[in-house]
Amino acid sequence: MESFVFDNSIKILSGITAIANLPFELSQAGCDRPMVICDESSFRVGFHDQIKQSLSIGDIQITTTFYKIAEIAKDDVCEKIIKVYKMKKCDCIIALGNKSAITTAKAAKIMLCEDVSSVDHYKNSLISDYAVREVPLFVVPTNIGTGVEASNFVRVYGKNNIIYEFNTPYAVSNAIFVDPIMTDILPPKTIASYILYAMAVAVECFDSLDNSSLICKAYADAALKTMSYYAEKCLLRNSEMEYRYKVMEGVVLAGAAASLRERGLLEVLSDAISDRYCANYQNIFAILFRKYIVMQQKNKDFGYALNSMISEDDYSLYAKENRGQKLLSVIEDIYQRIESYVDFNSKLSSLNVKKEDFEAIADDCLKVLNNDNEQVSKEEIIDLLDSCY
Amino acid sequence: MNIFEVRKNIKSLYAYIRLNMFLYGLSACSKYDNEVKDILSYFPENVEVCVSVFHFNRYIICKKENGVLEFKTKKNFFGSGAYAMFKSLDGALPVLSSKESFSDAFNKSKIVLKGNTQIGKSFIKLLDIAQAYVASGIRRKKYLHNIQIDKKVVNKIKMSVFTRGWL
Amino acid sequence: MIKEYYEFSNQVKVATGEIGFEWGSSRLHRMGGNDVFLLTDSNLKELGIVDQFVKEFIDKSDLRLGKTEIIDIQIPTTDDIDKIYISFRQSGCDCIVALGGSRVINAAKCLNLLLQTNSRDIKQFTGIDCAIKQKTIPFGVVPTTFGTGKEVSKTALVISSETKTPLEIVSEVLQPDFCIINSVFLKTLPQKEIYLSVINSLVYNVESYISKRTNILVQSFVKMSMFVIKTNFQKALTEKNEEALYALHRASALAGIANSNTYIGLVHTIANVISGKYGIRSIYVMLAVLNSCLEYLKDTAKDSYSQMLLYSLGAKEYASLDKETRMEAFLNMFNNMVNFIGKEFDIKLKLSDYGLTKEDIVEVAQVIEREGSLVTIPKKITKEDIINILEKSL
Repeated sequence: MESFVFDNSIKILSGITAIANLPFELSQAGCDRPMVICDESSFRVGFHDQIKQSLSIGDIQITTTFYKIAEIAKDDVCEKIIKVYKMKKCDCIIALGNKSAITTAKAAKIMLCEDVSSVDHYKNSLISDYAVREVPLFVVPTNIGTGVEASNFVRVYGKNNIIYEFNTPYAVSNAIFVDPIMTDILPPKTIASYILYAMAVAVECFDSLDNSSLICKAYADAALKTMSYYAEKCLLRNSEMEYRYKVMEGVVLAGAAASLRERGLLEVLSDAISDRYCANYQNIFAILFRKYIVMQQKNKDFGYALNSMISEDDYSLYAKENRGQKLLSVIEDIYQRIESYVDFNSKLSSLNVKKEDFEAIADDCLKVLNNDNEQVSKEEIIDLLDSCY
Repeated sequence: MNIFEVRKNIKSLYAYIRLNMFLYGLSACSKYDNEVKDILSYFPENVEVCVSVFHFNRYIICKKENGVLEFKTKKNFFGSGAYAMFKSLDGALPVLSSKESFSDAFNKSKIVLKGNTQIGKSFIKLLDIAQAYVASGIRRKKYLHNIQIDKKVVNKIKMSVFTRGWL
Repeated sequence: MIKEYYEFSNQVKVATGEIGFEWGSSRLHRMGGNDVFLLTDSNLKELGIVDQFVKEFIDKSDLRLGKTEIIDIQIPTTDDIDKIYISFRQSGCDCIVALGGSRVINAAKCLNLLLQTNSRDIKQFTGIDCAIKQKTIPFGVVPTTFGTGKEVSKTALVISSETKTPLEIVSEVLQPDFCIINSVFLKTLPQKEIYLSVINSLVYNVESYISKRTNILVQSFVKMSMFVIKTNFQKALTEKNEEALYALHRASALAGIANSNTYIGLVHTIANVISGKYGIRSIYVMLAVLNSCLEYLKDTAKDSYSQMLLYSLGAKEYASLDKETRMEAFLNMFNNMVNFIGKEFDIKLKLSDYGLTKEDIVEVAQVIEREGSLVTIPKKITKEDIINILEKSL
């Protein structure tokens, strides 16, 4: 009997006036002194003012805002946030913005739950079993979303290149608000990398016919359906709010699906390359996935994902044994069309990845994967990197 | 006062005016519309139902006491029966401007119901009908065409709402 | 102009399979639970399932069994809930586990609500989204049947001791922290119950898919649930295959999650009213009215029926039919299932077989029309429509 644990709780409010429900959701959690953690661009573009306005209609004032967030979640920033949170006697966190803001907010939440004031504490200790305080977290992604909104997985970068990784239910958010007005026009290249990343993550959820990971597949199905219909429209007509909103919704749902799965080869490899070359994680994931799915076709059956990507009438024309092949051609077709629209970085070499580092990258990955009992060899990893180079 | 405060005050004023119009509309429907009369007749005796918006200090109350119906606006609500509350003012505005029905807003989780859920959901139906009568012909055709109303009494009800509002 | 807005909530953590018990007990302990207040029913105690569960779940962990409370009432009154609350307080326990079917889970949810809101009077929470959580009480559910989705839903039903009226409570605070799905309890289920549970799950799926409250996530959950039911139904029935039962149990949980976001539809509304009024088992009423209800909704739900046909019969059958006949094929599928179960297990499929007459139908139709649940169905329904539906099922 295959075992599976869905250790995540997800609440999504999606659509126009989603953020108008912030005061109500805060009141349901018994909160009225929110701390807003947002990245600087979200602050300057006006998203912070939108949140302020929504909260003021419900007679809630933002207690404090922290917007000096770095590109990545850093330990000193988390520690500063905790100090300010305690000093201002806040009772909840609103994470507004991109990946770094949301990850930083989640890291701060974990530390607040455990009443830990320094990230260094985790050098020698694990996350404890008991939360000292409850810290409601509300996530408002901006732009195209990042996929980390529903995730339990948090990475914090410490001093001396130490990376702290947490996979804990403390990182769960109380609610995720996906609102069309929180999207902004982005360069098509950035949109393309997020679209392909979300699609890759969602297809990966269908990697087996076993029924254990059903909830994961349900989120992935919703993500694929949304992306299949709106992805190209968004790329070609970025100015349409509806298309940007739908792509954001798809990315958030793909992230929710991924959060329910164990981290696999692609996630670990993408992290390793992203850390080494300071390259965009989503872009790397999308590049690797294109070859990975072809290589894995013999071992895994992604065929079920086809149902989410094409119409029911077309899907019914393919016999079970042919669906995998058809899926590969649909995915390859999408990649090629996106490449024709934008100058998408489709090879690792364009991200300054060096061939001579492949062995070291493979070794780093194996250390993590062997701890997680994932069966993959060094040669397989290097083959994958070679094919994506 | 900054632009947010001004906007908030305008929205609140609009919501107050529209909620009162629905109140008058409901009062008029209880006299002229058969379906509303029927629904109200099977409400229990001595019951109060109310509609409001979260954090908005105006409650539109329909009270049935010993068979007599009373409609009023108050600053608080402590009655039994049912209480329908919009979760946000922005979420309520499309409904208050008759671009969306109450039941559609409920189905989108924009409305919270407290109290007896059966009375509450029936109250939502009542509000739908009142909204359809009060809305302009164009809005009714475009957004509220699913709600059946008695065309013979539309003018009576509109006149009743207008005179009551004026006075 | 974007008009779309929806909310979707999936708050219950689900552990399936062999590691479920170990994960669940360690989770309870991590949340601060030590002494377990176990709610169950007398049937399970007699069958030895409670002892088996205590051995696997509690004895092998850091938890202790504080007290076992037996729940045998179908729908508890407010006084019953108060008694359970007092029993919990007197036991000194600090966490709750519900082991059993829907009646046990229902009572446990009510207890959890009172504890999490620091309150004694459950009547004040009647309605939707009225409760505000004030503290966390570790609460887990181990369902021993499937088909109702109660383990993941956010509804509970109590009867007011004063007025004898049912009080429906819908709130996220009701939901357990986790539920453990393990087919070890299903092996003793008779074939008839498996069949009825599957039909119940399918009806929940259909109602959720066509509901006015549906959204893209609800439809995805329904789709996955129906795929799994299609693949495992025969095996579970004919071979009593444990893996297949386990899969059906998971599919039922998905149907429950979908339904908790859309509320019940026409079939369940009618079944609940007639069942409550005449004391007939709710699932039997559902079988009697199912086909008429699906027929009634077919003009508004044509495309949805067609899509659900793909999920329930498979691609081959779907492709062999043209667009016009798919809807009929979907209706025929349910018709065949209902007829089969009626014949095989000698279940009455007409309302008149349970003693209902035309006069009763009119009275029941009036009650159903006033049921607010009908605001979520995709078609405006009148008393005459309900009478027609019930007459066809008579």
